[in-house]
Amino acid sequence: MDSPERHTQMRVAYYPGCSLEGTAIEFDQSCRAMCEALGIELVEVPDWNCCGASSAHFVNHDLAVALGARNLGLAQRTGADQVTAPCAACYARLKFSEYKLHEDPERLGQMLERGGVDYKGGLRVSSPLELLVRDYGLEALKEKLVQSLNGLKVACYYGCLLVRPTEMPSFDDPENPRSLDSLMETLGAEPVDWAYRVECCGGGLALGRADIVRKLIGDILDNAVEAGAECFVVACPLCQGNLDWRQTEAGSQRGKQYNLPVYYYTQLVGWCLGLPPQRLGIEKLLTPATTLLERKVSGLVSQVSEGV
Amino acid sequence: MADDKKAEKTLLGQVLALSGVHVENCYQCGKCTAGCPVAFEMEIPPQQMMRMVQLNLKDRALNANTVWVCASCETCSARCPMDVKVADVMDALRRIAIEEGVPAPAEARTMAVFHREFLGGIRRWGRLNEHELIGLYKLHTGKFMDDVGLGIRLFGKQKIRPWHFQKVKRTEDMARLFEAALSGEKDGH
Amino acid sequence: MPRVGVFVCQCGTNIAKSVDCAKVAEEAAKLPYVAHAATYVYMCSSAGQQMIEDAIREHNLSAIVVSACTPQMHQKTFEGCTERSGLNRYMSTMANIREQCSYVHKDPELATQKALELTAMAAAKAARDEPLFQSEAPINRKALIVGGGVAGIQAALDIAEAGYEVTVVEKTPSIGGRMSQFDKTFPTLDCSACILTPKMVEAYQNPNIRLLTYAEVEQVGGFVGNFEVKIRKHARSVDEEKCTGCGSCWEKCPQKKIPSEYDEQLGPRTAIYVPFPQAVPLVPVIDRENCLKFLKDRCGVCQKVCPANAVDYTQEDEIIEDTFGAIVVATGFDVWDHSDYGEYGAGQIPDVISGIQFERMLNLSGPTHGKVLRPSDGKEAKTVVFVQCAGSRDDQHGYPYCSKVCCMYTAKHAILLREKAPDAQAYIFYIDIRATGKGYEEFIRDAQRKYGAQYIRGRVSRMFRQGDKVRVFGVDTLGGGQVKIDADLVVLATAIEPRHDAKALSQLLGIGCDNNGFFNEAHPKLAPVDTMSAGIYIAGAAQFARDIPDTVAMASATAAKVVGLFSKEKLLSEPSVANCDVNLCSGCRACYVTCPYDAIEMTEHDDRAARMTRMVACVNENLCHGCGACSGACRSGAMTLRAFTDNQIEAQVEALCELVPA
Repeated sequence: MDSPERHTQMRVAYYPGCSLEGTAIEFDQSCRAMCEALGIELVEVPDWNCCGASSAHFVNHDLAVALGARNLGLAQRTGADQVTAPCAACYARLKFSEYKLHEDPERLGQMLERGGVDYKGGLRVSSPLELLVRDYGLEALKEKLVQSLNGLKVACYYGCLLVRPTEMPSFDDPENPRSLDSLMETLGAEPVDWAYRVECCGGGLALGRADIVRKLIGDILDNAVEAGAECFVVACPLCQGNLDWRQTEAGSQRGKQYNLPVYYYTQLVGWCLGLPPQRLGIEKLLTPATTLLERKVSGLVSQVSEGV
Repeated sequence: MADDKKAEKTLLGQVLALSGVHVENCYQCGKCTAGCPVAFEMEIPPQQMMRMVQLNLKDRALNANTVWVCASCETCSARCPMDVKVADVMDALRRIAIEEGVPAPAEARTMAVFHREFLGGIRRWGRLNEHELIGLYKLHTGKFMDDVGLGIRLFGKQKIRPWHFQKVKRTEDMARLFEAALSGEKDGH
Repeated sequence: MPRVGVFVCQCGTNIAKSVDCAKVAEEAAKLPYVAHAATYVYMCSSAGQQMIEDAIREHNLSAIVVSACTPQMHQKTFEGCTERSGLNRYMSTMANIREQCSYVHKDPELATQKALELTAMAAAKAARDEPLFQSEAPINRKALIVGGGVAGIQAALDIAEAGYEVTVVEKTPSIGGRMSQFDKTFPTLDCSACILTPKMVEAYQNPNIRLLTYAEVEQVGGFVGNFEVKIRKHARSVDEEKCTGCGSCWEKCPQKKIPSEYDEQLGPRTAIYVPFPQAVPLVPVIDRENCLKFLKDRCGVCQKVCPANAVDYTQEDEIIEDTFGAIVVATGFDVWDHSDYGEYGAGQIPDVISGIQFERMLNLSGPTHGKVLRPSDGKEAKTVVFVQCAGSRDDQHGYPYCSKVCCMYTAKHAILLREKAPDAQAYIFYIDIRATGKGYEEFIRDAQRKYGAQYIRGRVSRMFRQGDKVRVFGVDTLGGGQVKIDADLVVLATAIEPRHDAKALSQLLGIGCDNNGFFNEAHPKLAPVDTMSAGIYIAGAAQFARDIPDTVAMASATAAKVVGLFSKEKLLSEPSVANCDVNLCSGCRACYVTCPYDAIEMTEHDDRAARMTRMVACVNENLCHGCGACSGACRSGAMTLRAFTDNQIEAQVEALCELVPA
């Protein structure tokens, strides 16, 4: 059996990544707050650099591997055996570097040496979602919850990079993933059965080709609404940004008003752990997101607090 | 050896060298195109791009907007029955286009600028400065008025905080790492 | 003193193009014991053979070496030469200077040197050849057929027709197999049952045929002519002698919702059941895992209503042991399970079904009585999408091969769909259309022209539930562009795959499987129904995906093989097998554990010199394949392989060392 004591000893290297320092600041805030509440110690990777996400692999394979590997080398210095990256793109890039490490170790070694680090492998790269579902355990999480999402109809949107590329070992099924759904069920929400959970939102095309992104998220929004969703839950700043920020544009193109808040799962977990909304950055979401949660609040409180 | 040299000069050989993908395995079933979220915007759909590579039709492949529209969502690679990593091939083609100075087609130029400025930023600072990226992107594409409203809303939510940006401490390490990675190209890596 | 003749074949230019055959003959003449050497353009021709026979007599040769192609092709040809010349036929050795030399070496000088070396080694062996004699074994003239589908039935009928006894072992309660599940057959649209059931009845009534249904082969021993087989006949819980097949029991059975295997889970069956109305034998079985009597000791209705008093809950499995001269393996195929195909719904979308399920749907006695209905809500399906190559030609999720029959049965499905519902529309996603049988291409064209099937070239990427439809994302690679169809029903042409228990059966029988798990034929061109085990033959889709005409042809071919075998008076076996010198054998059992064919037994030997009885190895010559593993493992030198004795092999090595420049 999982004991709460064991979890207080979890110590994980933390790679926030550029977006979480910028436009996805609330993902960073809520992730840190959630982990603190669960007794998971996050040690920020010292002097981390950009993982190269949407561009490096576009133009240079070696660079893409080296950028990720430098971070892994720095993460290893923290003494943790696992590094966790909330941003799905960072997670995929770091995992990719670990996976490709042995392709040409000599050349990679040279590149890293120039970059001031040394890394020979051995770190596990995870997403905090994986940390929650696999390592911490949903049963253990359940014991810590103080409020429920009470049947909130949520569309779990996995996007691309949580489950792909499929050549790397994945913690979830690439075509029909379940981890977010299970997590949401644990929080008392009702994940809707919908089809676009792994369809692409356009990702990095947001700046250069917003026209394409509007079309893609329009399809995603329509499908979620049709399935009865009241909101989205996501694991990627690009997905969040595209779905949240461009929701109005996509809606006006189709003559619709969607009004579907787009939460990070860390925000919803934090909410159910009873953390104050400001610490979770819920007010930073563009589509109004607080009212919906407040409406769903209810009294799981008594039962759990007695147990603890 | 002579055969190897010859093969490397073909587009098929170049793609193999850069991505490790054997495009000759493609039998044109079209599953990549069928599942591609952005195929509707591509001048040449993914499965036809594979055909262009097989036939070494470099000009036609690189002059299309396809590689610049590709969102790297990896759906094609994940579902290919023949294990042709289509997204990796797109990466390789993009790199060939850049190295050989093939200009991106007009409507795809914005994405080319985006990638250039993205990498330029992390080469300089080690981390991505979202605000700098947006600024430079707008400067080079002339798209000053795009998304201004959105920018103001994000600013209001304190999601855009230009004063908050922190660069990597050892930027010189980053510069050397970039140099090492990019110099490899000329050695034939 | 042995006198060896060497004959170097030029094989037209196949050998002569890189080997100087005259020089090989000239040098070979100088080798020890070689009394004569010659070369000729085609040694296997009548003139070449005559030349060898004349030389044997003229030069009084005691053994010959033919340096030519592989002994697999012509060993027997040249054994004929020695035999006709009055020598023991096994005084003939081949050196392979074609496949192992001229075909693979370009440099004439080196190739010639290697050809000479191979010839010298063969001559050293030939000089030490001893006359060998074939052993005889009786033939048990009864055939065992594993699998009672159309292949097994056809083979049984043909063998029985020739007057021999046949036992058919069928795992399910009835013979008939896959063909009995089909509605119509391509390209003639014959009613499948109408052409199959007469054969089933014929097999049932033929006095030479014994049908063991609901039975499985459990153990196989022995060898060609004398296979000792143990068969487990599962307890039917119904007395086959007494049952009249009246149907009272299954009509009254309260367990009515068990998914029917025969209807591919689309319809129900009862716990006491016959799989289909024309079952042979028409005797039900009780599925004990779902029967209330066996689960909870309740009910017992079937026994009460049976007018013949045939239901017997106490019946036990029966073990039948028998000896057979030959075995035909006709176990058929399974269809690939698409539940691990995530992008096609992972088996979780009820309106995405397999081709064989659609087949049952089309059948008038099937679960929907011949109507094309959506499993989800029972509504009639109007827009039907067919997806070919589901699991075939797919290195990632399925099998690399083409399943051969899907193009044809999908066209058939499209035609039958339109016949059932004139306003229905079939969309067929395909990659290539493979229609290579008689009338097949015409059949595809009929589907397109007369029945309006829309063929779309491209694979489907993904499908999911959208309202009460299934949304299909495909592509039209010829017209260009993506295709989106909201379908009522999706039919996947799932791959033909080996039976899930094929591997286990192959081990039982001692026959191999290929990379995909189908049974291996002895030679892909020249022995397609033989296996590497003498006396065991394969027919139909157990060997690879087959359509019905191919399957029936293969079945008749196995029958011809069996009848040919049975027509012999006795079996002669090749003498180049292992032999144990009991005086040298220490009884260490090293050979016993090494032998892959279980051909070695440990027996008691009365050692008079030592005045004791000790255990020694003994070779069953009928089981021995002459592989030599035992003689390699034997430390005391007791085990030798005839025609490849230690003495001979050492002489070959020495001959090679003498020729190789230091």
